[in-house]
Amino acid sequence: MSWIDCSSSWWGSRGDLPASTLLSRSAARRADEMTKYCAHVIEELGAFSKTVPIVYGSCLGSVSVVFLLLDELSKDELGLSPIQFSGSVHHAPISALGVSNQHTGIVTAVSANQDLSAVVMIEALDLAKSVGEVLVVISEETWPRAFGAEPFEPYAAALQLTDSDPRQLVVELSDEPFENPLGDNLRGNPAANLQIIIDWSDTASAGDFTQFASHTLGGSWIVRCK
Amino acid sequence: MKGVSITDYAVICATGRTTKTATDRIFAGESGLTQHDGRFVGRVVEPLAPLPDLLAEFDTRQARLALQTALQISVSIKHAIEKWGPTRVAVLIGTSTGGIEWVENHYIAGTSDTASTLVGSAFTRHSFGAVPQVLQRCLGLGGPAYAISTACSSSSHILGSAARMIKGGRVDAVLAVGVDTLCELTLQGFHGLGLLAKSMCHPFDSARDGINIGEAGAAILLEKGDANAEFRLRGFGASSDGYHMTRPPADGAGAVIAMRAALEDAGITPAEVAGIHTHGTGTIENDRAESNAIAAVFGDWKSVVSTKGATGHTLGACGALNAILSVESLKRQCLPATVGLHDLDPSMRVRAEASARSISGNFVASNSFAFGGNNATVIVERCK
Repeated sequence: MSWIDCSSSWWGSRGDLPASTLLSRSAARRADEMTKYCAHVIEELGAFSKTVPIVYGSCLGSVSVVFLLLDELSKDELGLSPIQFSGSVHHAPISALGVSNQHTGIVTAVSANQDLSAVVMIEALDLAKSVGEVLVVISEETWPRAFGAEPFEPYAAALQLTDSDPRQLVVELSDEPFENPLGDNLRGNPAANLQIIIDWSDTASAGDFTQFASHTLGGSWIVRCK
Repeated sequence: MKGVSITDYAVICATGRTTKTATDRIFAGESGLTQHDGRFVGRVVEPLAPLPDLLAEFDTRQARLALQTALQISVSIKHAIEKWGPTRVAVLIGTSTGGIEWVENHYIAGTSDTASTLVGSAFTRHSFGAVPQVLQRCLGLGGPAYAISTACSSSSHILGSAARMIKGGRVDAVLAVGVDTLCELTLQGFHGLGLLAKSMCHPFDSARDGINIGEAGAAILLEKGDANAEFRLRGFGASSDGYHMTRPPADGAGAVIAMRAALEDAGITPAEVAGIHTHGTGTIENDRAESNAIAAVFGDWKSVVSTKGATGHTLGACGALNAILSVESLKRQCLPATVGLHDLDPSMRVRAEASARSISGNFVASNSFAFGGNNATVIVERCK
């Protein structure tokens, strides 16, 4: 039985991020934007437990770092920058925070396309069944224009799933087509659908449900309060 | 009943295009590593068929390798769909690179901020979420479909997630596929870290100097516990080092947590584990840390093997590949040779050997460790 105990979110039009105490001075110097987004939303939740299980989600991860490396590939035969290379792996933002804060708990990192927010919640809810409390962190930065996708603002959110609430969060499929309520600035950002769950969960009571993402095979994902 | 059933599995890697060939060669002590552009790599040399036309927008070498691997067990997958219903069968992909190999072959340096310079469905080919969709559509799976990407521990994590999904009642079966293909970005990245071996790798050897990168597809079909199952995924444990992005602590403290968690999940003692398929990459620091961690959990001189000298380090695929080789070890009651090992480093506290040896027991463990200090251990069981 899991419910959202607390949450925090940020997106581009909310303005610049303050420096995070979760990143050491040297880590902050090396940190890419995605790491800074994650540090900010986690810090807003309160103390960062060194052992809390973490589910991280992103569609493309630190894709700007990947493209920096692709640019480097063509001009440097001595190998790529170790800091950039290790920062290009999908779970790098959450791992950088883990290293800075001596986190020893389980970390898993999920990726999907338009249903990213749904599968992140599935992974987190299933993990919560066995461990009780899970920190969910999601982030997506603006993609390179080379992809030709509609531009969107960067988005990040963190939420704590606990079993201390009598309500239970359930993620299910629906045949109904998804109507995206997000504004133009976030509509193309697959991570931002989590904001729909966060907003809905504040007032949800037993029996309530809402759509929050489209499903890859058609229809939509809904979240229900049991 | 503890664990979930391992119904079927398949491999394509440098040692072979079919599961039987690939595993037989590994257990015969052969290496599939070959030299390309001055480096030894574990390349799948046989051609991989393109995706069906309807899925052309997803067509990458990675997607082809994943699909061809899974198709080897299509009969078992079909039976699972008939038994449980399509929406009760999920597909999870463990990958480190996604479709970056396609992107690096089509990207013009310096144009990332120029609109639409990458044509041909670049996003769908690049994304980690592409291969789950390909397998979902080609195999008729209707359950959740997503990727887990924690670099080299990715496809151990999908086994843990699959077990949780099944035990928690979300689905009844999961097709878990670890897959990664060779790409220049990975090779140059490890080169920059100074971790590539000068020749073929030498895991646990005094003269070890680094890794050989490889590619592989490794598919495992897991189903709700079946009393008649021959093999089970019995335990899973994971942890973080909280130490460094690319180096483990010398004592392997994070790996110790993962291995102990897997033993606890399996409900068995260290002595019941007959052998360990290690991460065993052949770098100085990984092998030292892993040896110390294994000794801390299992005691000195536990029987272990590294198969990286046979397949190369297959990155996001190596967890599932290692798990399959662990099942093969139980089936054959044998640990294969650690190819490339000639002179065991005297500081090692594990029993790695240059030749195959018999084991006796019903449990084998498999380790995988990754950037960010991400550790995962899987324990498989022979049930009868």
